[in-house]
Amino acid sequence: MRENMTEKAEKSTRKYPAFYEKLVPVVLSVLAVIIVVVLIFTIAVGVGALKF
Amino acid sequence: MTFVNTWLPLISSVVSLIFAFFVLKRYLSGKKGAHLLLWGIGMVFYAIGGFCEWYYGFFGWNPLIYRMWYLFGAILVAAWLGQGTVFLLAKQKWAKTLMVILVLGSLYGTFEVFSAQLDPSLLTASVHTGSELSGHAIVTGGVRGLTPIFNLYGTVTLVGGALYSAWIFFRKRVLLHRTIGNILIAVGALAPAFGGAGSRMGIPAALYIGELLGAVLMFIGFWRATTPMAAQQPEFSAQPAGD
Repeated sequence: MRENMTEKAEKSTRKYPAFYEKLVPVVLSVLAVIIVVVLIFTIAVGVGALKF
Repeated sequence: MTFVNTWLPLISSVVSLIFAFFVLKRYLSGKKGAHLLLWGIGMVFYAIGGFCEWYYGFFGWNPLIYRMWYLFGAILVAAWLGQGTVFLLAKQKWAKTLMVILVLGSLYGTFEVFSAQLDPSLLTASVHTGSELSGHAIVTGGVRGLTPIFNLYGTVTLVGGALYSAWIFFRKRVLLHRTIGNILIAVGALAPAFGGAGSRMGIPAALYIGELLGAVLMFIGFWRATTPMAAQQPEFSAQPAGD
């Protein structure tokens, strides 16, 4: 039990290099927004609500 | 005929074929997995699309090349690549069910595209739409309606799957190379969509550049995701809990 708790604590302190720690969440957020916009746009064109 | 509408699609086609070769080689060399086979098939479709665009740039459209371009380059490619990601991430039962639907849909799409009536005056569509490449020459109803359905499925599964994988690896702070690789795959998969949008807005070169960028980024992303970074493993600091 104690070993498991230590293992959990150790896992939570694992880190990527600082550059990637900052960059990855920003890039993932931007891409997530882009794909949502693209999907809404595609659906709007597909159902004829938007002419493209 | 310009460099952009001839050689760029040819380079995209060659890059896609090389990518397909490496993916299929990996599939055949024991790293078995339906996702590799499907990505390989998807990249062959990508290469066929690029080849047809090169042919168009040099010689103009003919009905067979046009139908092949529309089927492989506009309808099927994203969905088949995305289906590979489905096999990688989803439960096998769901993946197999969706695969059956995709195969049936692809057969239906093939029949529809090759039996559709074409208007030769619209084969060179730039005059009418501002885009050099479009499906406007297909005048039989219902055929072009298939494209957004396949592409929506392909984009959601391929880009969404890559982003989901990147997020999972980032959250666990493991396998940095896979986080980076999946981000590159997601960006690469979006590039042709943005290129297509640019093309429709009157910048024909955007599509060819987007397709080339897409093929290159997905290739680099796949290579990155499958090649561990020995020098940059996640840092590990074993601090006691509570510190």
